[in-house]
Amino acid sequence: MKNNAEVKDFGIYVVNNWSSHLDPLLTDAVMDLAYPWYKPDCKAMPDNWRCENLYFSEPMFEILVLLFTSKDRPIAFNSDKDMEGKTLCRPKGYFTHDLEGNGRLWLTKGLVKLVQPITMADCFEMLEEGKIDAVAINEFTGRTALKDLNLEGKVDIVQSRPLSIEGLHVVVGKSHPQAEEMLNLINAGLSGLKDSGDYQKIIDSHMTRIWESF
Amino acid sequence: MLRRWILSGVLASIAGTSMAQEDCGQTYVLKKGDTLLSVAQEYYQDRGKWSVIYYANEEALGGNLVDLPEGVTLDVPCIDGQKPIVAAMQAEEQPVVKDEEPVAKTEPVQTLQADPTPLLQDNADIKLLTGSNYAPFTQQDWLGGGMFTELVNASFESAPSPLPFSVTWENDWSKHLFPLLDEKKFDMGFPWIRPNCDADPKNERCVNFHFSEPVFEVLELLFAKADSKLGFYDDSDIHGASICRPTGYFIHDLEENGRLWLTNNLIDLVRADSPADCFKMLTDGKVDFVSANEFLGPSTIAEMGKTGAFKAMERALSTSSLHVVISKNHWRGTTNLYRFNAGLEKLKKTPRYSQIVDRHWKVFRDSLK
Repeated sequence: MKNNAEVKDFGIYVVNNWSSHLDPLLTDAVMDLAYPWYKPDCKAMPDNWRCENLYFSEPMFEILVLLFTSKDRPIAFNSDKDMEGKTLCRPKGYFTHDLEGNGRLWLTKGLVKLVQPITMADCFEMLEEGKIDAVAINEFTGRTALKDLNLEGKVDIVQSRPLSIEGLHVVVGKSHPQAEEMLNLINAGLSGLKDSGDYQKIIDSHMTRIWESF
Repeated sequence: MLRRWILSGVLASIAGTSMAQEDCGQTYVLKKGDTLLSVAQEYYQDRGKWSVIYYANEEALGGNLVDLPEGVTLDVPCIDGQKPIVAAMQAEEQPVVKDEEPVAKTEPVQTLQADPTPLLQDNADIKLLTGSNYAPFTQQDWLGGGMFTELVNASFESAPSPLPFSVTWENDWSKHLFPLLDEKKFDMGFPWIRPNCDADPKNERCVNFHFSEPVFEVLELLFAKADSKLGFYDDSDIHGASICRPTGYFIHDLEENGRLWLTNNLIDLVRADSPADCFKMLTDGKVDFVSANEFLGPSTIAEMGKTGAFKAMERALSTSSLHVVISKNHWRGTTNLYRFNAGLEKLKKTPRYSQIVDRHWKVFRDSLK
């Protein structure tokens, strides 16, 4: 935003209740833009709520969604078929579109059971108790939880194959009167940031800290 | 012949390289003392094809390249639809085959063609960095830019939802990791040897880069004089021997896996200025063995005009693996790594992998003449 001459000023509001962000804060245009949000496979699921109601910026960052399994009960994940009949855990409020997209329809068809407790710690507790087969979460959130819960010796990260690759985007409500202008603004800003090298500086400082902490 | 080569190249790329191989090939149960080189020699009459056997059986071998697990059944696949033939059977069917001459009539290398590179373009999503003077792996004026370059191309093509890529040649290798890849002037670089990051986690390559799964394993071999009676069937055979390896080359393999050859003075390591100097010392009887990889050894011998004067031991001394790297701070660090690894894994399960390796072995052999 700072890189953009058209933007005179902007404010960032931190609202910890994520479930209110998209609807109503964005849909009612109380807020203009929100981040970070994942983009569902809108080609395959055009009637997904996010696809119907939001515009997505170019990806700001890209991450892997991985399986975290118990060292005592390893599971093979060489193809999607290996997930059939398995029980996965992901806290409430996190997206589930990766379990449906790319023709999977795991939840719709009842091929995979998804358990959604309140916290990450709940998921890892259920993993230890053998109530689920794997925790399915992005690599950074998962690794951080492993470290915080001191579970690094007990949990394996399935590295051979991620559940999905997810981009993180800025979103704007399609009902916002200046929706397209806002979207252009953010994309132009991102592109300028990448050209100037500032994008890389920001990623560098965060990623260096993150990988060191693991 | 020319037609067949072009045709197989085109088919491989169009058909997504998934030609059925299930009903082709043979099986072989490993005996004590078998090596990848000896099995390749027996079935393909060509030691250079060891990697075809290795990658067809990577899981069964549990990553072992030097000492193979006894009793394991190996798949010995067909190469270009050519059935592997053991020497004895081959003698009955084709009595005129001369020793060392591969059964499959070799096409002249001039007719070999690199695979098409539909995803290669300028200024693409993924910018790859490599350099020359590393034949047969990467060399700009080599067929397809070298074996490794072709394997990287093919891996990206086999990746889920493939992205276009560009390849830039920078011949000053010292600039590659730092600063070019570290500062993300390029996205991924190749080929790089992975240090032992478990033993040396502070190594700057381990701290700053993600390494892909191994794209190619290079065998480090022991060379002796052609008339030498010395053998290398297990580690104890060379206790007390003197081995020449040029200055600046790695030595960690002489200490690892409980060897401790240097710490316990079990071998006499001699450092010479160059591979050629090592082979001169071998000729003069000053050392028992020269240690060099499967490409550097033969090419040094050929350059010295000494072809036939030395022989390589069939048991490899060690292996080093060559990888693609990406900065840990890259915004697509783990995701691009996965894209590549997934493509590589798929490629290794298809005949295209061995076709590429085989093609470059032929070009490499020809370059020795």
